Amino acid sequence: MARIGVFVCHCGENIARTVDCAGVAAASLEMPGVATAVDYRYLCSDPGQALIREAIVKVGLAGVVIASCSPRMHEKTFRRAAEAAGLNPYLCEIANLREQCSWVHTDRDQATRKAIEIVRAHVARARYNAPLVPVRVPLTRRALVVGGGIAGIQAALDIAEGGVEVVLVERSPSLGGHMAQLSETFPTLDCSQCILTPRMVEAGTHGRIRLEAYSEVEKVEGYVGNFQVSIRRKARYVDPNRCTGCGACWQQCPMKKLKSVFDEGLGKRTAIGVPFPQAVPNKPVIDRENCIQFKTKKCGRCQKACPVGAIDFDQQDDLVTEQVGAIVAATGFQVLGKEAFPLYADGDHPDVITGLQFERLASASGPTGGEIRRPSDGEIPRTVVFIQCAGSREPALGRGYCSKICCMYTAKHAMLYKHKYHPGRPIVLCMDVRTGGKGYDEFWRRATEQDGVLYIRSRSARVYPSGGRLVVQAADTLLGGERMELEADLVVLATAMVPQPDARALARKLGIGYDSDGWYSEVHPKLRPVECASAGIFLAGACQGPKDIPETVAQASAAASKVLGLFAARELLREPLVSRVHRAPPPVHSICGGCFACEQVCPYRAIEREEIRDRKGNLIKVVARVNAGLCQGCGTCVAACRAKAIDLEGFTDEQIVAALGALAESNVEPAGAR
Amino acid sequence: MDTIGYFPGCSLQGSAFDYDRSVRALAQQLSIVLREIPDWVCCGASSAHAVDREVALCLAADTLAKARRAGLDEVLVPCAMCFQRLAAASQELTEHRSLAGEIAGALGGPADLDLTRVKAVNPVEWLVRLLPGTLGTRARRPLTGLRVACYYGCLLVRPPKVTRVEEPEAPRQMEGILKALGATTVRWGRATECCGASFSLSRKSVVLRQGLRIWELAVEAGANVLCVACPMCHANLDMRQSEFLSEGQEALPVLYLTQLAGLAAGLGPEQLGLGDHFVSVDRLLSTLGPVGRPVTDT
Repeated sequence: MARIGVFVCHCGENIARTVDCAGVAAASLEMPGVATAVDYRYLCSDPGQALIREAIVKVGLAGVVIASCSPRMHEKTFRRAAEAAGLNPYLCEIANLREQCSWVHTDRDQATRKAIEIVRAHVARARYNAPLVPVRVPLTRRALVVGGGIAGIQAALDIAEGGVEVVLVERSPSLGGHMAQLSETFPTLDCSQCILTPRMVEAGTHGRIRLEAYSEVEKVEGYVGNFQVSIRRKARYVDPNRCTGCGACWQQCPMKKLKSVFDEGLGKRTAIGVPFPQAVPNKPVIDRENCIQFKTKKCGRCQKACPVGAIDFDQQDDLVTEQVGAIVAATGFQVLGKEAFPLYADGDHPDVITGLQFERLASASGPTGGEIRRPSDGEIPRTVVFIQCAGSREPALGRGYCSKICCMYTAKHAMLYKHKYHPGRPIVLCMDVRTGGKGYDEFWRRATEQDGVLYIRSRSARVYPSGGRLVVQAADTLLGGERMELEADLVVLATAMVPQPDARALARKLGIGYDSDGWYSEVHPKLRPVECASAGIFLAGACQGPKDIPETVAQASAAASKVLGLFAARELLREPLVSRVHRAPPPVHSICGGCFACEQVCPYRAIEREEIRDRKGNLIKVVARVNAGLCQGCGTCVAACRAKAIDLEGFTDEQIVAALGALAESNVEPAGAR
Repeated sequence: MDTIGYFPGCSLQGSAFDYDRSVRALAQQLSIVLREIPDWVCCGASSAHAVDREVALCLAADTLAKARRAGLDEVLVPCAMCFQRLAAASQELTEHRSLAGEIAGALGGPADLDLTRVKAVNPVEWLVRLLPGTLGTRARRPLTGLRVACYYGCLLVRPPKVTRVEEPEAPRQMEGILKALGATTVRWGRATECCGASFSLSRKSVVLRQGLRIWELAVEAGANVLCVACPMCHANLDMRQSEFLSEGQEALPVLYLTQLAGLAAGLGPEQLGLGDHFVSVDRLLSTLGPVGRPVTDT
C-alpha cells in the first residue's frame, strides 16, 4: 500500500475560516493509503515546508498531497520541498482547497465536506503518480527578431549585447518603423529621429546582428530551442553588395510624383529609392508596381545612372532558412486611415488628416519642412481641431479598447502647432484625457496652462466642409450634450491603433495566440507579460496591444532578457507532463493505429510520424510520436485517440478514473437534500 | 410582372399625394404591380409608440398580417415614418417569435400566420434593387445638369438595426441611384440631420432653423435640387422654404427620389405630381434634356 502524507494548510484564515482543517486532516487519515495527515497554519512558510520534508523522511512517504491554494500558486514551492527531502517532485500533488472551496463557499459544514472530497480524489490519484524526470531539449543559441521598429531594434541590440547572435527581419526596406516617422516625442519633446537613428545604425552594423531588411518570415517549424525559420528576401532589384547608396538612381527616376508611404501620402517619392534619407540599410528598392521599366520595358534610366551597375531588373525573391532557439515577435501596429471615418468629411477631405500625418507635417524632414501647413492649399491653419478617440473606445465600431498613446500625442501635436505658429488656436475634443505615465500629466498641464490649448470634453459627430473651412459638429458632454459647431482650417484625427493587417496570419505561422482584436496574447497579463503560450516565443511592443515608446522599449528589453535567460542553460529542461504514445516490444510495437487524428487536433504541432521497421529495414507500421519539446500537455490528443494509445503523464486515464472513483464511492449527500 | 405590396399610409393620401402619384407612376412605368394592402390601418407613427408599446406593435402588425393574408412577402412603404414603424414591428416580432404568434392570434389569425415573413421596403432600397435590371435599362432621360443634395433625414436610416442601413450616419444609397441615372450628387454635411419633423406644429421655430441649416449647406455644396424620401421632410423643406429663407436667398426645389427616378424613366412632370410643389420646379425641369436613348448600360 502506498504511503501517502496529507498536509492541510489553513492559509491563515483564507481556508480555515470556512473549512475545518483539523477535521479534514482527521478524515484524511481514514482514506486508503494515507500514512499521516496534519494541518498547519502556513504550509508555504519555511517551518511549514520543513514539516513536509521531515514527514517524508521520518514516515517514509511515497507521495504527498498538499491541500492548499491553487497549484498555479505554489505547486513549484511544494514540489521543491518534496525534492529536497528526496522524493521525486512529481509525486507531490496539490488539492486546491482555497480557490475551489473556501473562497467560494460560506457554509462551514458543507465546505468542510467538500474539502474532504477534494482531498479524497487527490489521494486516490496520488496513488498512481509515477516519478517523472524533466524532458531535456537541446538548444540553438541564436535568436530571431521579427520586426525592425523600435521594439525589434531594442530587443535585437540587447540580445546581441548579451553575446548572442540575432537575425533581425524587417519587411519594409528600412529599419525604423513608426518611430522614424514621428517628429518629437512626448513628454520631453526630444526629436524622434535624433534618438532613433543612432540605434538603427547600431543595429544595422552590429557584429552579432544579421539584418534581413525587405524580408518576411515565410514559415516557422520546430520548437523552443530548435526553430527552423524560412525567410523570404524580397527582390529589391538592386544588388545590395554593389550599391553604395549614392542616390544617382533615384535622381534619374522619371516617376517623381508617387505618394510617399513614409510621409503618409503627404509627400512625394520616386519608383526607386530609400524610404527616408536615414534609412538603414541605405540601399534603394524598386517599387515594381510603379516602375516604368517593369510596366513597359521602356525606361531603365536608373540602370544607366548607376555607377556600380547595381540595378538588376531580373532579381528574384530568395528563400533562406535560419536555425534559431528563440523568437521575439515585435511586429508593431498600424493606425486607422481617415477613410475609416465617413462621418468626418467623407473620409477623404485633404484637410482632415490622421495624427501620423500630422507627425509628418511637424517633422523637420517632412514634406513641409516642419511647418504646419494644410494639405489642400498649403495655408497655415488658424484653427486646428484635434479629435481624440477616433475609432478607439468605440464598441459600435468593433473596437472597445483605448489606443493609449493618443491623449499624449494629441497634447504634443497641439503644443507643437502652437510653438510653430503662435497666433494659432488649437482645440482638442476629447472624451477624457488619460495621462498615466512618468511626467505625462505635467506635460498635459503644460499644454493647457502654458500653451493655451483648449480642451473640450465632448463627443465629435461630424466634420463637413463649409465656406472653404471645415465645420466640426460635436456634443459638449460637460454641459449636458449641448450642441457645438466649431470652425477649423485643419482637423486632426487621433485614429485608433490597430493590429497589422496580417497579424493573425503571422500568429498562425508562429503558433501563438491573439485576442479578439488581433493583438498577440501573453501567458499572463501581469506576471508573464512577454512570454507567449508557445515556449520560446516572446513579445515586444505594440503587436501585443497599444503601447507608447517607453513601454515598448521596456518590454523589448524584457523580451531580450527572457531570451538570454533561456539561452543561459546548456540545454532546456521542460516539464515532463507531456503526452506519450503507447509502445511495446514486438510483435505489438504499439497499439497506435496510425490514424493521426491526434496530429489534426494538436494545437502545438507536437505529433510526429514514426516509422517502425524490422531489423532488415522493412516498414512495419507508422505510428504517432509526441515531440516532448513541443508538447504542452494539454491532453487534446488523448481525447482524440480512438485506440486509447496516448496518455498524458501526470494525468493518466488511470489517475483520472481513480479520482472519479473516489468521488463516486464516497457518501456524498446530494445537493439540496438538507 | 413583378408584384409588391403597397402601403401608402395617411400622408400619401393627404399632404404627400404627389409622392403617392410618383410611386404609382414609376411602378407602372417599370411594369411593377403595386398591390395596395386591403383595409390597411394607421401605422401608429408619431404617437402610438411613444404611448403604448403594445398598441404600436398591433397597429403595425395588423397591416403586416393583412399583407400576409394577401400572400405578400414584401410591402413597399414610401413614407419614412410608416416604413420605420413597420420595419420596427417586424424586427421586434422576429426577435420575439412567441410574441409574433400571440399578436397574429390577437389580430384574428390564422394561428400559423407568420408575420415575420413580411418585409417592409422603402423606396430607396426598392430602387437600389431595381437599378441593375429594371430602372437602369428603362431610363430614357439622363438627369444631366441636376446637382442633387441627397437628404435622408432620420427615420430612413435610423436605428440601423431596424433600417438595415450599413452606414446610418453616412449613407450613400440615393447617391448611387441618382449617379447611375446621370445626375451629379454633391457632398455635404447635413444628409442625416433632422428636419424637425415632429415639431412641425408645436415648435415651428425649430423647424425653420433646421430647414435653413439644410438649405444653406445644400446650396453651398452647389446643389440645384434637394432629394428626399419622406413626406415630413418634404413638407418641412418645400412648404416652409418661403418662411425660412430671407430676401435674396434663392429657393431650392425639393423632389422625392421617386420623382427624380420617374423623370429619368421618361415620365412627365404632371404624371409625377411635380406641379403641386411650393417651390417651383420649372427652371429645374428646363435644364433636363429630352427623352431619348438609354441612360445606362447596366
